Amino acid sequence: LLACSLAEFEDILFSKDGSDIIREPEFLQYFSQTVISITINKTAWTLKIIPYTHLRMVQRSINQQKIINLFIRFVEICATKGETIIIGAYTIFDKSMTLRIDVDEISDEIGFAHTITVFVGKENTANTISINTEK
Amino acid sequence: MQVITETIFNQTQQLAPSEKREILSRLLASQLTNEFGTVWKSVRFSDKLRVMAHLPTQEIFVEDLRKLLQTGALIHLENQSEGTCEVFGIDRTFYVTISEKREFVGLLNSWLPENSPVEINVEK
Repeated sequence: LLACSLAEFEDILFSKDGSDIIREPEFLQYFSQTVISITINKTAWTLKIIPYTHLRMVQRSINQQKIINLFIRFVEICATKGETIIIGAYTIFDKSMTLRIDVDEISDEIGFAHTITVFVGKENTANTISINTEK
Repeated sequence: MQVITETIFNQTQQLAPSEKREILSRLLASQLTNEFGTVWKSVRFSDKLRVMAHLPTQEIFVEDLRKLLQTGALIHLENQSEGTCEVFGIDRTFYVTISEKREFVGLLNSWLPENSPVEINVEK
C-alpha cells in the first residue's frame, strides 16, 4: 500500500475491497491520534480520539465539535440522573450517531480528571437492536 | 424479522440454559438465511487470521481473541459496512472491526460480561 502512487491508491480505495482495506494498520498510520481536553462543571476530561476513530470521523464527516457536544450532553444527562461515571464502557445513543466510549482511567491525584477513549459506533439508531441477554 | 427476533430473545431470558440454546440455535440459523437485517452471525477464521489491538491496554487480550475466532464465535453486528461488531467469548466480550475476506480483526475494546457497556440515550 505504501509503495502505491496516488492514482493506484485511489483505485484501491474505490475498489470493492476498499472498505476492508481502510481498516488495515498500514492505512491507519495516516490518521493521527488526537487528544482533546475539556472541562465540564469544573471536572476535567481528556478525550482520546484514536486513529481508527479519526478515520471514521473523516469518512462520515463528523467533526470534533460534534463529538465534544455529544460527550458534554452525556455528562450532563448522567449528572441530572445522579449517575456517577465510572471506569468502563458506555454506549451513547443519539439520533444521528452512536458514540462508544471507554473511561480508561482517573488521571489526576484527586480523581477528578478522566481519560476517555472515543470510538464511533453505528451511524444512526434507527435500525439498532439492543438485546440484553443478561438476567 | 428484527422485531420478532428481539421478542424471542427477551423471552429466552426466562428459560433454562439448555432451552435457551435450543431456541437461539434455530434463531441464529434463521437469521443467517436472511441476507438483510442479519444481526447475529457465527464466524470462524483460519490460521492466517491477523489480530491487532488499537489500544495498548487491549494488547493483552489479542491472543485470547485470536484463539476464540479460530475456534469459532458468535458475533453481534453493529455496522455491517464498517465491520464493527461485538464478539462473545466465554468470559469476555470484544468490540472489534472485522474484515472476513482479508482475515483481519482490529480489537477496539473489551469487557467482562458483568461490566457490559452502560447504554445512555442522549437524543433531544
